[in-house]
Amino acid sequence: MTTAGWVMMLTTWGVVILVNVFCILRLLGKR
Amino acid sequence: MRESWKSRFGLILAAAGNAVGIGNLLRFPGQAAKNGGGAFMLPYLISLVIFGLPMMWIAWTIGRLGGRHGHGTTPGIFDKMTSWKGAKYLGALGVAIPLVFCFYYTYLEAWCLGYAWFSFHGTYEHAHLTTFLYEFQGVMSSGNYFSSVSVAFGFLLVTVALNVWVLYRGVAGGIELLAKIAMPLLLVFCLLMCIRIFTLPDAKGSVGDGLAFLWNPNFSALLKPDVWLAAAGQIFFTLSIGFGALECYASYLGKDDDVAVSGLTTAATNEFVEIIFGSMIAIPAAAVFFGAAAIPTVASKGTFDIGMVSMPEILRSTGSSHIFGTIWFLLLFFAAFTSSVGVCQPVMAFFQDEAKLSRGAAAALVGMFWLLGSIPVVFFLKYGFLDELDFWAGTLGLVLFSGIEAVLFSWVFGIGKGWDELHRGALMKVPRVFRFLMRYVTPIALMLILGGWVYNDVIVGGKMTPKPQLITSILGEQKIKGEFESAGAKPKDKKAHAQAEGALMGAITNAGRDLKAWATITVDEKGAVSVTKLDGDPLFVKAMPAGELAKMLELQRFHYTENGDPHAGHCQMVIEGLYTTPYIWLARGLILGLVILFLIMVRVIWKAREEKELDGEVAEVGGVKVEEEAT
Repeated sequence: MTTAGWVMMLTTWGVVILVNVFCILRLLGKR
Repeated sequence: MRESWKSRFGLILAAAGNAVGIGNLLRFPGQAAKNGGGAFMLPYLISLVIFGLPMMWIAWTIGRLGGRHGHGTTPGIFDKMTSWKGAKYLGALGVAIPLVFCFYYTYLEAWCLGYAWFSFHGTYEHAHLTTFLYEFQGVMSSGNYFSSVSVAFGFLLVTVALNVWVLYRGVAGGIELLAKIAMPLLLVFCLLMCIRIFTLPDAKGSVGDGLAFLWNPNFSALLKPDVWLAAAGQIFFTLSIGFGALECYASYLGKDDDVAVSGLTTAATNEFVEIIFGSMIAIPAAAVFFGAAAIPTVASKGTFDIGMVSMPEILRSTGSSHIFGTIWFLLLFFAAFTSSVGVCQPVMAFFQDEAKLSRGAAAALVGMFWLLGSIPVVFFLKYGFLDELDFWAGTLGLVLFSGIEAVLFSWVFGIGKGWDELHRGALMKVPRVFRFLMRYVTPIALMLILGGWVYNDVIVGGKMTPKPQLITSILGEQKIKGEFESAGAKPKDKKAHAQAEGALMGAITNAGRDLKAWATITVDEKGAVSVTKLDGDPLFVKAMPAGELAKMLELQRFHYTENGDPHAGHCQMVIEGLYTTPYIWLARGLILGLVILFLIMVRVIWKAREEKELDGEVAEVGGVKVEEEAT
């Protein structure tokens, strides 16, 4: 895989994981 | 009293389960691979922001608003959003479209259940998988593995029964419980599949080749409008927008329960499964087994070929189809199951909330509709019945309905009120830019997608006029080790291929019925196929004699691949020319009929309600009058 491919994959995965973590924290925070 | 969710966790799992479907694991990798690999993610993520998330929040917000007034479906919700009396009729689309979708989606779900069973029993261990699939679906009538479509129909009956049973058990006891079991199971199955694929020994290629194919960006693809349309379409389908299901789920919330984070979490969970697991299973597996050079062909074959032909082939060649084949198809089945119950819940809720039926009566009615609507899907699949329902209701209908919803929310209900409603009890502040997006960009983006699809498929693609279909299959194929395959006509030969078919297509249209023929074909040592004899319907043989048939097969590069068996010799080929017109119009009639039926129901229910209210007022006035006279 090219460097650009790695960058696209890891950035997209990173964003998705971060948004999921944000949501979980927000949902837990209310309790 | 209306039902409610047991817990927020259960609701979010149910909403995510509704969004996560077969498309996450099969459609996404195919679309990404076809449309620029890693570069596809740019229009994909932009689409997610400009209309995916806004529509998600709109759905949750108006759903909770409707629930406050006792309405879980769009006729009632739209009616409460505006004083305009016509709004409820637009809302009828939000009940008819999901029901049509269920008619055919359950059949896809039944295929997955069937294949899980076949994997477990090793039924397809030595089969030609393409023929196996098409015979199972009733598309091919060569009878090598299935003599009729009855096995698939049996699995459909089981699937519909399971769905109706979950709906009958209710929101908390059925849908929520299913999500709590199916979603963790789905994630475990995804993980198991990833581990299996990533531990496959390199064969013709490696897992890295598959990831490279999916993620290496081709930025020039961004200049093509089709790539943007494909990305927007993928976001649309993956989030299950426009089904009225999310609105219905949100209607069972309390009036101050959060919808902002809940909506975002639904989208985020769906994207997690799609972007991470969706890119780690099917395409890397295809790269290992078929080699990097063959992935474009595998990816272009379409959603179900990757899932139901390529994946079983890979798994059985590694000797793991019993366990991992079962896991793979159960994974697809559960993904579809949690979606279909969600999509049908608005229909249940309509009968319960508006027609005031009991849960049992509503479930019985839904089950009856579901079964009656699914029967033509099963028996007329080869005539394009399913595709027709999918195009008008499951594609154009959904975008149209979402566009209506976006305009109603931002312009009729008012973005100011809508924004405040979204933030009532919210656990996060939605960035203000989304207010602008919801008001201007989302409705325009949805109309552009609708326009793009209408232009591509209806105007350029000639979707309005039904065309005859040709289906070829080989008799006695299970005795041959090699594969008969068609590589498709080369772009430069496409016109000649269409001309070769033309006379037969014309004959089918003029005859107004199916034309069937049997050809004896001979395979030479290079795998080239020639036609030595042709018998069958005289109209067929007259329109396409043996020589013309041979020419057509040559143009579509029909050939024999040895697979250790060089001697296919003489074979019998069945060629069916299918007259699709009545079935296509039947599908369109079914959609239109259901829309009209729900419009009538809305009219009757609201009229009865108005009369009842009027009677109440008269009785009240009358009561006062009597009192006055008495004094």
